[in-house]
Amino acid sequence: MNRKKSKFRTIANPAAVLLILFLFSGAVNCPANRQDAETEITIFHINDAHSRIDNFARIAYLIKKEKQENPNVFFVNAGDNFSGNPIVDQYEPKGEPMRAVLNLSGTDVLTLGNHEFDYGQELLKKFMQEANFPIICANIAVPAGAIIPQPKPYVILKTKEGIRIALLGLVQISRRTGIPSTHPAKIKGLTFSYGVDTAKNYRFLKDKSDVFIALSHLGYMSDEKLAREMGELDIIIGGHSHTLMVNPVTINDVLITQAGSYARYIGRVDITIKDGKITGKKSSLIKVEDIKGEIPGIKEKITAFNNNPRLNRVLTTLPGPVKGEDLLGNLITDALRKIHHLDIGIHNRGGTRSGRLPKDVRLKDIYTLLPFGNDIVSIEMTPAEIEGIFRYDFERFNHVELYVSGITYTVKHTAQKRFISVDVRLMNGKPLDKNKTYKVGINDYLVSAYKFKHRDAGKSLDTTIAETFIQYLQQEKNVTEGLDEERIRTALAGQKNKEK
Amino acid sequence: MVITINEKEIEIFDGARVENGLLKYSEEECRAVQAGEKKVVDKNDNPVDLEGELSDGSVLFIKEL
Repeated sequence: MNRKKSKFRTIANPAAVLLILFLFSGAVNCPANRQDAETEITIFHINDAHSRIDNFARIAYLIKKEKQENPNVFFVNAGDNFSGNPIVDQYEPKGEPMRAVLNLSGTDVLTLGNHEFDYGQELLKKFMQEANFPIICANIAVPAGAIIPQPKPYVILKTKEGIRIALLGLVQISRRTGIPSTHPAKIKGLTFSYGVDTAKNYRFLKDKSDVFIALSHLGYMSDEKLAREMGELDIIIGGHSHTLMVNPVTINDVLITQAGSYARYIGRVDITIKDGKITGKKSSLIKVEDIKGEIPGIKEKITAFNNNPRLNRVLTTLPGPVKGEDLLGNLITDALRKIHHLDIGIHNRGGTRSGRLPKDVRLKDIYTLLPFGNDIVSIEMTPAEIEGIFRYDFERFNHVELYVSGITYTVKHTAQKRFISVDVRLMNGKPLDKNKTYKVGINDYLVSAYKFKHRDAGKSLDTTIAETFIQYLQQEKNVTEGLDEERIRTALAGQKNKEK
Repeated sequence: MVITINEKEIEIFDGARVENGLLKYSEEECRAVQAGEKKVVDKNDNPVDLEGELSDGSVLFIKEL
């Protein structure tokens, strides 16, 4: 009885009554009806810059100018800012130039892309700590004691009128591996859930916001699925598939957009809100080279990053220069096999330029030798499948193009250079075990362009041969030992003499 | 994963990019795209670049510029 009386007294307080009426009117929890006038909001967005920093002086100029003219302007980033340019990827610490330009460009929020993990968790932690904007991701679970902090799943940005814009962050997960496309070692200890499934746990954000946006690094195909299955969303700002959405798509009343890649375009979404409801939304693209202005201070920083003298430093000193394509082929395939703990490494002659590596190896030497940015793919292969790749290679070129590590092989052919057979052996001279499969590391060009049967489609290791080669040269000692082994032979049928 | 290029299904490794898909479809067509003679678009006629990451079910078309 006393409790009831006390409660009544509290409720009867006129100020409290007003407060309760205010709360129940929806003025706080329900964003509708807060404003009568039409409000225009502009959200600029980029995705998949992949370490390309050169356009950020222009981007920053545009964002600054637009924010000065309209306070309801935001700049969001749909992930994959790293990996793709040695100026950024080989900086010490890795990625620093991109971190700097993102901080200087008025970024309001960024979602993690799969390549945000490429430099490892220590550097991701540094990025998260030093970013002057929130970094979000809903479909990652970080255990206690892990290196990186648990990212917030979403943020709610507010306009000056109090209009709330919820942005939900989502990162791509491979259906096959259940992890983002990055080297598995880089995400050790972290767990991920599928983006479209996870997003559905955040349907409540519809009621907490006036505009509900997925800031998605799922790729266009998944964005379509997300739009079909989650009509609560108003807009999906995407990334990952590098789609330049000159033709924006609306599915289930969800506008899907994406701005290509490499910061060549910046996307623009214009939203009109009246009486708490979206009355218009449209997206367009701006070519960054058409932006008439740059912020000089940022431009100077970018120039300094591009001319960084540290990039010309000596990475490692070898006992002497490595001369000749065959020795270099052996060195590269050794790196590929040993760094990724594979049984066999295969690389093609055409994937290599320059026939020499100097004693003092600098970054530019690596990228001159391996200029193509090829990724490494790991495939489980049977001996017959391994033989198939050498057969295709010889039949295609009438000579051998493939360097190897972990095995030797001899192609037997006719005088007319017609393939007869290939004999593949382990380094100890024994033949491959017919009852076994071998982990083969091979560059993505060969897996794609060469026609050979392999039951396992393979999996990208999400690292390039150049990065692997740098790691190998810096990490391993005596890398030139055994390089002069004869690993590849061709033999004319009926003759004993073997030729290379 | 399986993707489709010009209505032909192609099985390709996990983590492949558009360029890998094109190479598997036709090296000649891939060279034409690399040379800027042709372009790759998705089913909505939106361009995708060679480094774009593929997902299972991606649908692409190679078109004349």
